[in-house]
Amino acid sequence: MAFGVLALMVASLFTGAAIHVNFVEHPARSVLDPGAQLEAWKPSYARSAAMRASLAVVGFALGMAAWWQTRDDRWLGGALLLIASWPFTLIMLAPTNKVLRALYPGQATLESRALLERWGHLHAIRTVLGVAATALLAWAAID
Amino acid sequence: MILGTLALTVAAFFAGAAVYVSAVEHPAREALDDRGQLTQWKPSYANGTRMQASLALIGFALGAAAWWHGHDWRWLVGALALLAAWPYTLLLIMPTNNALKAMSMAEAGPQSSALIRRWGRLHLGRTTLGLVATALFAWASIG
Repeated sequence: MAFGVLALMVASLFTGAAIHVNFVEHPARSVLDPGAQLEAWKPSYARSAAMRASLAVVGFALGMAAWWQTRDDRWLGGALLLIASWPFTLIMLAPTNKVLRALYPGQATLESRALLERWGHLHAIRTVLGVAATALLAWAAID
Repeated sequence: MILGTLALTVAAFFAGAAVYVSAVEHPAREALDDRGQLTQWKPSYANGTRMQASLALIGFALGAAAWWHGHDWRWLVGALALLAAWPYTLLLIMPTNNALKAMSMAEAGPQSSALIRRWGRLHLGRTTLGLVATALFAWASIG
């Protein structure tokens, strides 16, 4: 079942990166002063958005193809959970992203620090989406 | 094939996080000044090691168990690629890690940033090991 295996692989790559952000990168960035925090967040955000968005789309397409072949709804569920990171980002994260992107490191204050903290909490929901998608796809792949 | 599916999931978690470090976190850290780089590297390294080392061990155990059941060489080589992250880290990356860990924030300067750049190049080896293991496990899962 090539599509299903590849969907699981891509969802796990997405989730491994998302977990790393919550447990490693974001806490390490939080020890910096507000200006450096913002300076580190900006390029990280631009690069990670490209990686995360492509993995979500590719994993979604592969999961849908597996569902099409087998009609097992767990592939569909996993595919939808993965692609849900797109509307979640556009609706829930975009306002915070936009404010942070518009700030110069020189303008960083306790307020930008609070925004970055909020960004970390919101990102955790994307991590949960990835974990849930991976769990459903792995369950389908085991059977 | 429950063991193989779980091995693939864990290997892709490892690879997703390792790719993220090489493609996103490390380049973003390089945008900081010398002091910021060292400040962010220290906690990131401490947390990242715990996550990567555990995933490598778990993925190795699952891949080795899948090989034990099916005697397909791809599980064994994938498992060994994941395990190889351990000696690779201990033998090749450790001197750089130790030099960086021994530096106080007051010692941050061109030398610490050069070491962090070197660390980034060495980390690429771990990223490659993770991708090789993931590709082999996916190939073996497909059949």
